[in-house]
Amino acid sequence: MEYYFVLGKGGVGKSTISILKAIALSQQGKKVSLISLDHAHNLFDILGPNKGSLPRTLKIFEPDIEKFIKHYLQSSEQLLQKNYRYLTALNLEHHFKILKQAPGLEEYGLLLAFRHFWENRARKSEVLIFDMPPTAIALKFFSLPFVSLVWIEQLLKIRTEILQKKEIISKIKFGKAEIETDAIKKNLEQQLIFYQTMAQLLKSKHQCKIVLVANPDSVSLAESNRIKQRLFDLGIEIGEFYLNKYQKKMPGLNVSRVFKGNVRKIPQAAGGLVGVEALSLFLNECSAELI
Amino acid sequence: MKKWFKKQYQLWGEFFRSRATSNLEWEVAELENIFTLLTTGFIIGLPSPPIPVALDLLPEMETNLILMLQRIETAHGPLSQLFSSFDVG
Repeated sequence: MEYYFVLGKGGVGKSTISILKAIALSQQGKKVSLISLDHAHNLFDILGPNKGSLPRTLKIFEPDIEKFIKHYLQSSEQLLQKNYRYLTALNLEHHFKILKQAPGLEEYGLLLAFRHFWENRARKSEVLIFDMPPTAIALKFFSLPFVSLVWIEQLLKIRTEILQKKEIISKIKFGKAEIETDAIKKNLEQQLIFYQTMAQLLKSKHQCKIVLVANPDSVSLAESNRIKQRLFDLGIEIGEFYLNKYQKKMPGLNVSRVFKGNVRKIPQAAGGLVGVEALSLFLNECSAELI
Repeated sequence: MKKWFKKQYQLWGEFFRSRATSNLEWEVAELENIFTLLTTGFIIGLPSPPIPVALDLLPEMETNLILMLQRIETAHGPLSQLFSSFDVG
């Protein structure tokens, strides 16, 4: 199973590169699922109305991220009502408009969408390509598992200490240790497993490739460098680097600062790249770079 | 006589066991408060874990939140509680 996360500065051509890569890989016979995690989906806009000529092994999804957040708040509300029986008036959905703006919830919505496709499409596909949202929210998405792990590990330490002391108290008072099932510790352990699995996946160079797309200009490359640094701090490396809208006559740009490996150059398209036909024709020129 | 001694032994045993555990129980209560503050402190503007971590724990935190509310009642006299724990005065 291969995972690709396509990210870069806004407007560099992430969605176009994602589609071209998805078509190129599915033309090789691989079962590919292309998923847009950008709120401002535009995969279907780029493909145009005639999607019939796309390879049959390619499936494209533009999930509604807000629906994932809403569903999550609904299940949290049900659990809270079940455990806090006197909270009969609790209605989180009613306050959805405010709650969805809560710090951390937007990137969690992306994580829920990712998890949904990770769990449901992994059996039906060989390749999952995620067209990521703009840099800020994409970096928050990547940071979330690592930040959560730091908190969960510390909370688990405190919880374990509490339970150990409770065991000692019960040994002294009752002559035997009464080991109680702690729902909080169980919850933390479940969350730990999920975030550890996700962190391992993101760091795994064999399974997961971070695809960084930039344009041949200093602003785009500077932002790409910042993305690279931020991911490096999390222990994630860039797997592939695309210089999109490349032209042969260009001022000297220091690309090696961003990526030391093979820089894949995608030429500037002569006309607009909208519609499956235009994309397929363009793919003939650069399919080798995309595989 | 034997029964009387046995009862005395049990009573004194219970007394000393509860003395032995009172400090530990106070430590456990403080750790529970710290845990609750860390997970739900975002309500009062404290740094907190990512919202999903805190929200996922919230359904299991009823006891902790009730303990925190009870703690608020003694918040005006923290020293008196401390002295009581260490049997001062």
